[in-house]
Amino acid sequence: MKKPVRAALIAALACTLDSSAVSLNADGLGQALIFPYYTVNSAGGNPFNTYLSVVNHTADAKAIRVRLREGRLSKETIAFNVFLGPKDVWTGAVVPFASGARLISRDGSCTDPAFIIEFAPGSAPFLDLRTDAFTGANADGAGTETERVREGFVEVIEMATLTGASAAAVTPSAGAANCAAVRGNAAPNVAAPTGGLSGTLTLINVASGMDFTLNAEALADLGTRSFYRPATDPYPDFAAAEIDRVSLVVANGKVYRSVWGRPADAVSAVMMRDQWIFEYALDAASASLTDVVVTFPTRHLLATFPPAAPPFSRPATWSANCGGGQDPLMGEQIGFTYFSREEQTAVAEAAPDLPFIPGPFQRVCAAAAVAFIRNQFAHMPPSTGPTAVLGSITKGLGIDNFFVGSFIQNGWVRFSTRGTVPLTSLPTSTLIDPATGQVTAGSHQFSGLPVVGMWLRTLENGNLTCGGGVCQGNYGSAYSMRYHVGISP
Amino acid sequence: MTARRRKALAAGLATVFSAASDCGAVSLSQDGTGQALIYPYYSVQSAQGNSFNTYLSVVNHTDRAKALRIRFREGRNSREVMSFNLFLSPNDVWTSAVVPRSAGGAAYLITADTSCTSRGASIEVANGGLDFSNALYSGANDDGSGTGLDRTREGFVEMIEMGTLTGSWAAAVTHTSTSQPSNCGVVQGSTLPQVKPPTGGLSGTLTLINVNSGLDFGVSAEALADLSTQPFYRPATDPYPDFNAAEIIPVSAVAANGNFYRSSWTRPVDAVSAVLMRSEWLAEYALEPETASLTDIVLTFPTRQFYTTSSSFSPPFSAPAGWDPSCITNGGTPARGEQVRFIAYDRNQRQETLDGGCLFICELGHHFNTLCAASTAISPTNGYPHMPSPANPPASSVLGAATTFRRSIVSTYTSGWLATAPTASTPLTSLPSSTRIDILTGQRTEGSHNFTGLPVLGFWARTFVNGTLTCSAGACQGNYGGAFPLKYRRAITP
Repeated sequence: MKKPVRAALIAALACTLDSSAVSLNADGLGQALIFPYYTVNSAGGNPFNTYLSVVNHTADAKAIRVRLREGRLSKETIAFNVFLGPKDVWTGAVVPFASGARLISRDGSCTDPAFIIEFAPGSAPFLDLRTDAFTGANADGAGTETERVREGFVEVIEMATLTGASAAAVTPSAGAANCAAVRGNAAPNVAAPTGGLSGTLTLINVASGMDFTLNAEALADLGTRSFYRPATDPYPDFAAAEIDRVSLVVANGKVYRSVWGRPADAVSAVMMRDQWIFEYALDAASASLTDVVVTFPTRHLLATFPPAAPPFSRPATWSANCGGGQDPLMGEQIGFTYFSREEQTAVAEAAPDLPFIPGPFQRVCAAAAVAFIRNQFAHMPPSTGPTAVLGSITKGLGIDNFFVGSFIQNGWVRFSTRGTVPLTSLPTSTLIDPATGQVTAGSHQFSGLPVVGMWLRTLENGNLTCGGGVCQGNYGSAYSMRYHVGISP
Repeated sequence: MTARRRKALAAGLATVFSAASDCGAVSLSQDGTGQALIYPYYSVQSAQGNSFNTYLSVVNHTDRAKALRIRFREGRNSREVMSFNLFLSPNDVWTSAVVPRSAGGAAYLITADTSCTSRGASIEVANGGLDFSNALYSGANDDGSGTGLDRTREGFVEMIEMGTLTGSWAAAVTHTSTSQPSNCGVVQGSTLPQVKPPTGGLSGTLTLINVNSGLDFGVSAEALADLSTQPFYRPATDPYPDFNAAEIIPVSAVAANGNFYRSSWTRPVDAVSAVLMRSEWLAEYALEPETASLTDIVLTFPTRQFYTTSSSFSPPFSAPAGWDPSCITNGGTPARGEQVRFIAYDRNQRQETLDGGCLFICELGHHFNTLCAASTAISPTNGYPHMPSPANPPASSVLGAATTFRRSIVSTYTSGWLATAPTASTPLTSLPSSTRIDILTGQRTEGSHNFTGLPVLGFWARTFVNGTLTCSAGACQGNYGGAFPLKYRRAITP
């Protein structure tokens, strides 16, 4: 490249309005966290609890927004502010309550609103998950039942660091924090967010003796401006104006610094993947089962009902079985290819998705979609019911879960996006070749969908000796999904 | 062609080849797939009287057949205890389990998988599996860290793609409709290998399962991408290749702190280490009496053996390698291992620095916080009664690791997080031809990069205990085990 052109490009880079670039943090620290799933549903007759932890690894006090969204259409089920002191931790647990769910926490960190204290034996401070966002005037056609709050995903966004008196209030040198000083305060002392948050997710089925654990996905460098709001304000989310409209992705040996029209596009870009890959185990000998979770944390910001918007090719809708594959407007089409451990392959995807000619297409039709992989062994649960491991009733992934043949017991699966529209950045985006230093201006096209996910596997064992008696050993583990990233040029 | 033209052409080709051979850069894969995998731990040790098994999976997500070197290294000093070549057909999976042969005896490897290996059928369950060996740390290879087979019972695993297979070799390892490879004898024999450059696309999972305790801990293998653009297949009898193989590109790529660092190195292993260089290692812990919870933090240095011997060391390591239970030799001076500082935080913002240092002068027998093993399980403990009693020989709380570091934190801290940082390590410094790009401005600057910390990876494992439960099968074990990859900070200058 000729020097003047390159100089101009560098100047253009320097002159972009936004001063940071959203990225996924491989080291697990960031300004925002995404927990791909929460649940209090039951599996095997026993309910799950979901434990969440958020750690502030910095010396700054922070104000964060914690928001739980149900899994069908990402509607908010609870949101509140947490004020973390320096090096502080907040923990909470989502537990079943009546037909819904509640979030309990014995943590000492200040929250807004305060968790409710009931003077009853064994009671923990709580906030009940709410149905307001999808009932009454807000009914969205995806169900108004309370059970809808029982599964979904969680987003945590650092709104600001706290300074001065506000920082001091949540940083007690001794005794309890002065939560009244920050709770409901419309104008606390704040400065720009600094990141350094991490999180863990534990899905525990106490009575079944299993837990599944994963780190939260960390997004770094979202913004350099404070965007604190009191908890009564639905702002901010991943569309907040203070999130820089620039994403940073390293792929194909290149550095993609992509400029976007909207903050939500920058957040989405770092999660754009066109293949979602995981293993499965369905062995008869260990009665093993596998669920897969696919969550689109920004779908509600990109696609509505109607219309769809890139990268989504369909409006944001929900159906537990994706309408049986008969509705061309229902969900995103995905290819489903499975392999046994000995390389026996089948491509179970359907024919092209032609308008008004519905077929038995595999689809994903929920914001936090769950399915189980199945064969025909006797230990498989009915395909029409809740999923095998998590007991998901939202489901929304596949028409009839995912059948890998009668006798295949283990292997891996590749989901491939089909028919999605590339998310295309602005022409002011730049592509940097680190080997040569060459900087090339122009739009970037990100294939696939913005997704995070995991797979969960159980094993059962027969009779063990424990506690002086005979008992059954149940085992559960979760693993992050693998992905393929497709960006051009 | 004249001699001069031939010479000029050869020089030109060499230049092109040179440029091509390091046009990539080793990086940690964010998407979980790569050319090499590191499993931070394996174990068949016992905890609470029940032994662990380790399940491993490796998946070839590509449509090309591949040759991999599988290598198990014991945890005290990274000595190889088992290695072989594995041949994966397109889209193939290989699974195996490391299990104990007997209490205190060697670990051994079994598989029910049919993929071709250089070990033939001897690994198969039906044939009794393959015992891990102490040959590389006993006899003439004695490294002073113990010679017994008990040393094989824990460590870590590396898997390196040596190349993709073509022609008759690819055909031989490819499974037929009966789920069996066509003819493993082709790749196990002496025919010339048909191999092309590696292409990556490997992923792996690690499951540490304690069957009788009703616990399992699952994490993904760490994936390294873009190691090489040249094949480096060797028969299994050849100890080559490892992470210092000449074909590994001596360039690393790390995005951190607003910069993209493309660092050039003298040795390939420095590029591998650079992507694992972390200055602070962050884990949560739970030691609550209500749930009788326990925590182990596993820290593994997968490339330490390239920087240390029993008497020497080079940056970033600050001391010779070697292990003994107390990690103290020479009358109280820590002659081996890396000194670290722990800062323990509880969930209510209290903190305590546990640097293990001395105020003025160290008394004889003073214990620093010193990590002597290549794989160490740190067991934080508090003052509650459910803490396991110190074992002899030492054993970590959750995993029963013998290469353990039991560290008491503040007696009343029941949960929180622990920051571990090396205090004596020396920066790993790249060549002046390295470049960094400012992500904000696009400005490219040439010059050396200093990577602070040590090349490390790890996870923390946590248990809860809830007694015997009533479940659909009658009685169930109420034990719960979870594992989480560590979080890290990086410090790279400028």
